[in-house]
Amino acid sequence: MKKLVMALAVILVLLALAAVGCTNKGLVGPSPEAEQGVVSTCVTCHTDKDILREVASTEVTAKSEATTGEG
Amino acid sequence: MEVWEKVFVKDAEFMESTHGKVGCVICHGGDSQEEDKELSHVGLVIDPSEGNCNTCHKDIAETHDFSLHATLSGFESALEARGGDVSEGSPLATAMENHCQECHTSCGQCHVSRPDEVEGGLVSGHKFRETPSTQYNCVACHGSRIGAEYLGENEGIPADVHWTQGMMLCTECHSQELHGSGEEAESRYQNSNAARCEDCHQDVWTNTEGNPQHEQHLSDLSCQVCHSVAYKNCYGCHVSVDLEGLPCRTSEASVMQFEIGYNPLRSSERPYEYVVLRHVPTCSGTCDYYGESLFPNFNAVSTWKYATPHNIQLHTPQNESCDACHGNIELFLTEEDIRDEEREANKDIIIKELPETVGK
Repeated sequence: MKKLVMALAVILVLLALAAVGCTNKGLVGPSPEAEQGVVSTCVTCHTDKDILREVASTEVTAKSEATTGEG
Repeated sequence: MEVWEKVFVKDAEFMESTHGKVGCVICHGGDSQEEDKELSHVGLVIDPSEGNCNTCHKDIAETHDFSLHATLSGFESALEARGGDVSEGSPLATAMENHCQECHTSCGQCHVSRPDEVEGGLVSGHKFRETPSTQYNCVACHGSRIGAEYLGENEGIPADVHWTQGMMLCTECHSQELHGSGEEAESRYQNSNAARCEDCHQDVWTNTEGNPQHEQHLSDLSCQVCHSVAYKNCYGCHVSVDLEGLPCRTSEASVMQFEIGYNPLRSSERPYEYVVLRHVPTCSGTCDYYGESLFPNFNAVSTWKYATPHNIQLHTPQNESCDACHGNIELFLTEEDIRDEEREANKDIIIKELPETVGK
């Protein structure tokens, strides 16, 4: 009887593993915020062009003006 | 692009895509619950790339680790071949850091945004493009020579037939090659996944009937010798740092030339005796700003390189007839075409004797 219970337990564990798979679902599934219905401030701002225009910093160019000719 | 536009996720569909559902912070860090702009961006990773992508795209990421886009090993090996010391802390290592690293390409700079070299910016909202954009990605970096040739932007030189007739995008020929082959390479011509004409034009090799030029020359001329036209050659590049501490460079005006020379990369894969050669911007003084005589063995490597110009034509001036090429000194790289200080470096690829005319 004990062996039968053990065997059933092993089979159940294997079935569970097969269902979940060995993927990185935890990493590639919906974000925790999305699952909890929490609004991400990243999305709020980066999908609103008016907000972005308002808060955008002046870009500091890192290119030298002394460069001439083709690269 | 305006600054705001570069980070504007304009396509709401992205949020429903696999990548969109992952959420921002997993790849980009920061704090998605913080409303203050500065605080929400603390710890921000602008260009997440390999460390994140390999979670799902492991095979590609591992292969890409060896690609020239990732390693830039072509620069380092070229400097070393000329006797340059690129060890940590050396003047050339500093020069490489200042001038070569900008060419590094991350996953995102091909598949999500424009490359940093052209100051970035999302290409299609935040959509991940399996196929990079020819215009915004490939040509953004490979524009001054390859892009201009392919698209016909050099005055008087027609665009490549693959563009004019087929509107073919870069990735239609250059696919797996762009992630490398999984093996170390010092040049794109060492990449076993590199595009080859015969990938599509196999019939040219299997059936030469009725084409005496192919019958005669398939094994000793690269395709470009007969089917490309004048292309851009660059000279006299000098790198330095400006008064504000920013890396800069100067170079001479480029020259449109077509030069056939001996094959410097002759191998079983590239057995041709004659190929077209392109002059690279490098000269012995390219890195003089960083120290004197940094290339003690400059002449060990030619300054005219194996080239595959992207302006392919069916009919070209040199393939009009046999004698349009045979005996035509204008087409061949001879000693007169080489600058005095570069003759030793190019001695093995200069044409010493022109192919004789055949009267046809």
